[in-house]
Amino acid sequence: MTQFTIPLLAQMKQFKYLTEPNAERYRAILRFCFLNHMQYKNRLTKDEIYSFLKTLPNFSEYTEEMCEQDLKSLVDWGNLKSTQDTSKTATLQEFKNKRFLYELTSIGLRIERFLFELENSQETKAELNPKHIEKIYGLLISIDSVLKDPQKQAVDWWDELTSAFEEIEKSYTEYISMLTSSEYESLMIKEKFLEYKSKLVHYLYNFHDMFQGYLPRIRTLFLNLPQFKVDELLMYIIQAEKEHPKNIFRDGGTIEGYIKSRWQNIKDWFVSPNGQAERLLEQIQQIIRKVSSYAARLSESSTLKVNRTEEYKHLARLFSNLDISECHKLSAVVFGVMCPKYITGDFPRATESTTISILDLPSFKVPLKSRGRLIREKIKVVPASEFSEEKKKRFEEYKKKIEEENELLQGLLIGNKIEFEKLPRITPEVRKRLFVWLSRGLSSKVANTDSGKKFRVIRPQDDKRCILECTDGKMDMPAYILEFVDE
Amino acid sequence: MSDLLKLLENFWILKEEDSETFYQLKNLDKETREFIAKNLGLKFITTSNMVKLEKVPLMPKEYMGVLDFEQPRDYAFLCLVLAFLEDKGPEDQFLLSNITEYIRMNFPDEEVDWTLYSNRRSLIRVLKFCEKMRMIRIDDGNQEEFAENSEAEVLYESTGISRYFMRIFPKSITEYSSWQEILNSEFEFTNGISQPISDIKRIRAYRGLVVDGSVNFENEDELLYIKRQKVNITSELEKHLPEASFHIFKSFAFLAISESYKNTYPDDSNLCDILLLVASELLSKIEKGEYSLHPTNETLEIHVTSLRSILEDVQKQYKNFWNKEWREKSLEKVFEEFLKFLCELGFAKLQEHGFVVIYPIYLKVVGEYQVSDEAEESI
Repeated sequence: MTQFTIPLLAQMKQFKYLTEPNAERYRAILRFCFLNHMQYKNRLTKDEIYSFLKTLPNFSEYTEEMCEQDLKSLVDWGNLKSTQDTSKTATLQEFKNKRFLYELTSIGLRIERFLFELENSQETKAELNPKHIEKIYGLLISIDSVLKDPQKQAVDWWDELTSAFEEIEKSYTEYISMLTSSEYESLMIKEKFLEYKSKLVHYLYNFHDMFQGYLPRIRTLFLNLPQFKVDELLMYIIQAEKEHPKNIFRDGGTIEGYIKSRWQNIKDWFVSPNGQAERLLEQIQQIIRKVSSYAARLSESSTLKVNRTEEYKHLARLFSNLDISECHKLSAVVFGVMCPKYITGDFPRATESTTISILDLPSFKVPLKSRGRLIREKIKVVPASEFSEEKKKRFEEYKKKIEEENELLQGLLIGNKIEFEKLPRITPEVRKRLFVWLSRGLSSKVANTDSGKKFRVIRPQDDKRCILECTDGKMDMPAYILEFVDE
Repeated sequence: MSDLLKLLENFWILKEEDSETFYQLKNLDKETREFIAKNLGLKFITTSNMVKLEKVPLMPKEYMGVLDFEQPRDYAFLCLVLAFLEDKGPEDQFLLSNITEYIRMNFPDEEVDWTLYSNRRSLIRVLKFCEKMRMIRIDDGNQEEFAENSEAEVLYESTGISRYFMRIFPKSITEYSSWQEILNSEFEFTNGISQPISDIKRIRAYRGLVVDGSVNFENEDELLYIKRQKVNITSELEKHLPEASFHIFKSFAFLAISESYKNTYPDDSNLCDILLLVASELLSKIEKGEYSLHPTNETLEIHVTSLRSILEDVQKQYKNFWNKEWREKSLEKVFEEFLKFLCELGFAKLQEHGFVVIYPIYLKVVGEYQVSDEAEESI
């Protein structure tokens, strides 16, 4: 990372014109300058600016004085610079007017360009073109050959790498954000979308496959690249950058830090686990899923001939004119039987004859049981299999708890006693359990553990104390003894 | 449990509820699919998150409907909720007030007044049913509050499967005005079936057995088909519905299911005990010659008062075995519920002049208490 310096935090008065009360006036002036600049007309006179502003709808009250004042402010803030027009004047009046030419400063130009791009961002080239990934792969492979003649090739190599990477960053993220935007989603639920669906999914799949193929190879190249080669390569690039005329006034250390961190960022983008590259793959998968589910929804609803609203309304009228028993029957016919009902029972198998009467074969006799408390049948022992799942689970948990307790107890007992004085180093959980027992024992003569073991507490003679050593610290306490007793 | 029985037992099987069964049934074997299409003439529907066997009955009976519903209005509200959900996709959210407003605007012939408690209760039954069927989910709020307060708000989301709740019909349902019309037109569109007439007979017979569970003399043609094709049907059912045993008498045929199945008769309810006890009484009276069955249909025509007095005897003799709720019910109340359940199951039908026609299948299962010596002593 570039070294962090305080002056960066000072107010940037070049941005003032965007937020001042008269922002509309300032912005109109600068936008006019910018558009002229784009046509290679860099310098404008006050008259040119003023007469243009007067053509705008909100500027009828605008005066020359106001314009002059605005230009002066913009010059003060560093967005414009003014130079004296050295051309000869034709009239006295002109000369008196002390003609100035106004021109965007370089930072003023950049701010306007940035704003212009923001406003026209839909024109950017959002796409998923695997060529940038291929390009980076190719560049990484060629490092060795670049190092054969670094003086000549390193800088070009670096320019290509950084511009390919910028393309990836820009065009891919923009494409993804376009596909996930709400406008695009609302397009996806229109029936026309079905026509584009397969094309889109194919495009996404294609890129996804390519990217997934290249990613591990690019990673391997990055990870296997010896540091000395990187250092050497970057050294040439840094050197060339430092010597470049555009960087004459820049601090060498800053340039070096800048290039090194760019290299690291590019590497991280591809290499780091859960990094940007993986995220991109994931996002594409998500989009494919979403696109497919939208399409499935669309095709399902179109086969159902979408709108059956009128049919439902007609049915509502039919139902409301019937009695409830007929409603149930109509429901069975239009919605289908909710749940068919069958007779259960162990029926004697009929003979081959199909002409026997129901009275010829015995009926199935269901043994009924009493449902009231007036007559109780013999209490049956409920076998374990009739326990509900819930009960079973609770019982298992209980059993486990008891077993754990017994195990713990066995580990701490000396004879039939647990003496706090003689305890080994214990965990807070064990301490908690012991203190629960202790407090039970202190409040009654004989107490029980959860598993039903009986014990009593023996208070120490002469108020003897001991140190209880736990994994989370030591504790000074009376030297109690828990004595376990048989039934 | 066989795949076919699973499809019968469940209205539909959703991936989100039981993905294992869902995938198993989505990959239903070819033979079962063929059996469903060829012999049952039913649609087996699969989507990316649901499988469903459309269960069209031979003769609809009350128990086949949505028994959670108490009034015709419940069904009408359900239809409008389905209409409301029609253009909602999975995860689309909406409010209870969106539904009430939609129903208010679209209810046939009148404007629904949500200040009426009964209307609000009715809608709650419908929404609870939709939630149970997983057509909607509650994201926030408590729909029970709507009963007390018509301003209560609930946030729902659609799951998107409500579109599959109603069957798919070959023509618009607006062209029908009764369930009879719909059933009669079932076979108007016999796409590609080579011998329509015999196919229709077969399909109706199988539907009667498999979907309705029984076929009686009222569907004479189907019963005749079943008797003639007994051997074929037995072997087909053994293959595709091995849990079922197939029984034929001269007046009816039915399937008995041996496996533990969700919806059976008898079930484990006190009311069911009463039905079984009355069946036992009726049967012994028939055997003693006090009543006689119709010679060909084997139905029993009995006057309501006679049936009530049989129930009265049963109540006197056995009510100590019943639970508190049923012990304390008056004879009138018990008889009312008894008769309602009998008709709902399709075991009986009310006739004019106070007569009840009881179908023979009701007498095939009877109940008796197995009183141990000790229990007897304590009576």
